[in-house]
Amino acid sequence: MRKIVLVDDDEPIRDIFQIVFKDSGYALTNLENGDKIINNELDTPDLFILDKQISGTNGLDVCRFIKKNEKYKRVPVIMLSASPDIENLAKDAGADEALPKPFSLKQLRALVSKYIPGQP
Amino acid sequence: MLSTIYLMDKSMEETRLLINNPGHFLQAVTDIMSEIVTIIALPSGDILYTNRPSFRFQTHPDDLPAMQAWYQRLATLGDNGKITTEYRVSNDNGDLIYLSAQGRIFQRDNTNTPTHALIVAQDLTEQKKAGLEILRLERHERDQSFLSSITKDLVELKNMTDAMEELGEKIANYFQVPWCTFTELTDDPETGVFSYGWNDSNSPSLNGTYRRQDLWIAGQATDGAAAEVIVTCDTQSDPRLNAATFAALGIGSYIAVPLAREGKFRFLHSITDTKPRQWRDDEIRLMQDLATRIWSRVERARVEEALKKSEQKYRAIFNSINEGFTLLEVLFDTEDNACDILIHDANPAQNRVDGVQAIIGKRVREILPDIEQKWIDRYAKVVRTGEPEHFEDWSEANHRWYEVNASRVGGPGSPLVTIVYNDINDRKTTEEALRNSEALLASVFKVSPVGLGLADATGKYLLLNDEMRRFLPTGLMPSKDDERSSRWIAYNPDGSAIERHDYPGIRALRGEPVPPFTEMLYADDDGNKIWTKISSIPIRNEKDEITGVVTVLTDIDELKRTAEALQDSERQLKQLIRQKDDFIGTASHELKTPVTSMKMYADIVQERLDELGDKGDSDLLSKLNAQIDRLTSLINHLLDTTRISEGQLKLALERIDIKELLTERIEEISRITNHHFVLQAQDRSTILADRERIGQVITNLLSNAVKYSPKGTTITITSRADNDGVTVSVRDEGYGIPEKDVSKVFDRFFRVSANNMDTFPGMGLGLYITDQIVHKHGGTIAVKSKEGVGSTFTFTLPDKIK
Repeated sequence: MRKIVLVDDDEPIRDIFQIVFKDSGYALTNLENGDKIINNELDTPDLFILDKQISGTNGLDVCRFIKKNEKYKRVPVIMLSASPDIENLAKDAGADEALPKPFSLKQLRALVSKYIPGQP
Repeated sequence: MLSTIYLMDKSMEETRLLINNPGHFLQAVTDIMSEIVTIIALPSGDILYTNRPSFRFQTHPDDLPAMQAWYQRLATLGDNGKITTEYRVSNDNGDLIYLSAQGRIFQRDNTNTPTHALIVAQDLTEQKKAGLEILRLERHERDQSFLSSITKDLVELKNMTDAMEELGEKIANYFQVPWCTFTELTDDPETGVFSYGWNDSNSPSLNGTYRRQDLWIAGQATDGAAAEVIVTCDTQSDPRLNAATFAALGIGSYIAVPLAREGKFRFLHSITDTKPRQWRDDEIRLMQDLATRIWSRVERARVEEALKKSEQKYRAIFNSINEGFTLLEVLFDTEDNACDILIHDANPAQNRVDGVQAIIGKRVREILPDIEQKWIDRYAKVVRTGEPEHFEDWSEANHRWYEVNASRVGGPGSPLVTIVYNDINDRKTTEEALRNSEALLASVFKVSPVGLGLADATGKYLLLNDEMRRFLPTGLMPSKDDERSSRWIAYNPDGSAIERHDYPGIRALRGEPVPPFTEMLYADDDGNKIWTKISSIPIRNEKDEITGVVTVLTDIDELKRTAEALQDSERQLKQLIRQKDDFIGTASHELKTPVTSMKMYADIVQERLDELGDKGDSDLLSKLNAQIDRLTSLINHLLDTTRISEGQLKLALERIDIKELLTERIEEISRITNHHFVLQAQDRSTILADRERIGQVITNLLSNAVKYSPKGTTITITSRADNDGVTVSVRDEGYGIPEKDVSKVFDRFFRVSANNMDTFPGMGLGLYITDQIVHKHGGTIAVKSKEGVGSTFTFTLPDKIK
């Protein structure tokens, strides 16, 4: 089963992702912060979805860590943010995609299937 | 004879009785007679008897021949015959006695020849003396009348030569001489010239040039002894003279009166006779009088001649000068106050200068009744002091300015004044105008609130006004004033301090370019800091050398402090705005998070309703979603606005096809409205721009058009490209914008405030953001609108962003 890791400190978002990806054929891991990633406690997933603004190490730095880390660096990263300039920031941090908040369910699904083709 | 009369009055008888002794009787009679009774012997004349035995008679030699003849005649008379004569005798004292004698035969001898005669003589001496005096007086009177007649002639003397010849004849006749000459002497000590003179027809003219030593006695008729009259009674026997010279000229005697001018022998007046002559004192005196009068007249004539010449010169000047020239007499009243002026003479220019005609012989008060007393007083002062006056003054009567030179003619007491004057009205008026404008400038200069100064090449101020002096009490440039230069700090525009040797004034003196205004901080005596603004420019002479500097100083302290306060409040304001923007940014960012969740939940619910086939509830959720999108859009606008005001709007440039972008955005919006969209776009109009932002611009303009035009109307979009870039227009058929608002539609938070606008909610940020994005691309945006017809928004983007 393909694994998606979401890092967002906003509980409703995590709840929505849980609803959306339940029974979807994807295994979703919801994280409040990037500590597990930085501490290498996480198995390599198929997709990271990071919110830019999270407590502790922010999303952009987590992304930079991922893109330098041997274990994770080939995993695509989608950066979520309410900041209007997220596209440039995400690009700078090495993210593969930026998804400005708010977004539609349709947009989210399209991006996920873009980076994890064939499934579900 | 009295006794004879007495005898005749008595009867002969009585007389005979009385005379007993005829001898005694006769003796007694002759004793008491005043007459001198003498009996003489004839024809000798010897005195036999006299009643004045004390007399020693001696007939005057001059009268002797006459007396001899008288005696002879007496001898021829009969007994009763008597004759009278006058003669002179001398007594023992030598006194000359004049006698009038009557004689008759007194006794005859046998042959009847008279032997004795009786002479009765009266002493006429007293009478004679009185007679001589009369003669002398008469002669004196005649001399005086002659003198006055000559004097009268002299008065009428016109031509010197003729008149002198006339006078010469008169004088010669009067003295009964053949020559009368007038000699003028030059400075040559050797010669003399007989200039004028008269000679009778028998005598040659004596006019000519003579050697002085030949004619005149050495030592006489020289400068030192000019006053001594030379009298010669006989040239041939006078030992002082060269007899031969005079013999050759036929001159026997003369009187010559020399006269001097200023101590120099100049003139000689002579009468000359051919014969020797005993010149009487009165003749000599008369000659002296004549010579003096003639000489003084000659002198006067000479002065008059000179005067006439100078008068002619004076006249020529008088008539030709351009200045008015008048001769005035100041008139004084009985209390010696100057009361009027009589005009004696005026030159032709006078009328031209003062415009008053025919003034000669008139009084000033008659010609110019309004004349001010000061003019009369001025000339009266010249009369009183004799000091010339030169002045300029305003004449109220002529209503003009005059320049006047006044001087007294003649000595003290003369009331005559000449004035030379000129009309200087034009000059004065100009001067006055100049003075007024200078005074005006000076007062402006003085009271100017701006400090003004003119310094010389050494940096010392020659001229500085009050304001300038407030800052430069020593009158030296700050850079040149060692003691006070520490009071000044000059600043560059960037706030760095300027070195003392680069202060504006010193740079101007060096001929270097000086920034128009340099701010300098000045510390006054109390240590207060005052901000000033200083500007200096060099002054150059015709050789282009710098001779000085003009400096303008403005006290900008208050301004500066106001500006600083303003800057402070602006800083505070900016900070507030930034805080506000930060707040809006944070708030909108935070708002987005729940909005995202809301949108997602709605999407999830809608999906489920769609799966269940619940069409009605799905539509409701669609509307909810649309409202969430609208909320998102508002939040995005707020975010954009804060980013623009912070200058954080960044462009991601790429080559975009504007037609494609337009098509995309029109499709997007057409899904949510039933307006008609017409796109007229050129193919292949690409441009370098930020796709997302320009898309935002297009969407904003389309939304705006939709928002402000009725449903079902057409919105026309045109696009054309040329070498300079792309121009896009969005035209609606909407309500239009009131004219007063057209210029404000791009302002931040501006909303058209018409009554019906409540139906068009919004924050007034869309067009502001649109305008900012277009400008960030180096483009322009404009709107044309007409109420009730519609609006057209047009933006142009250049192909290359500078």
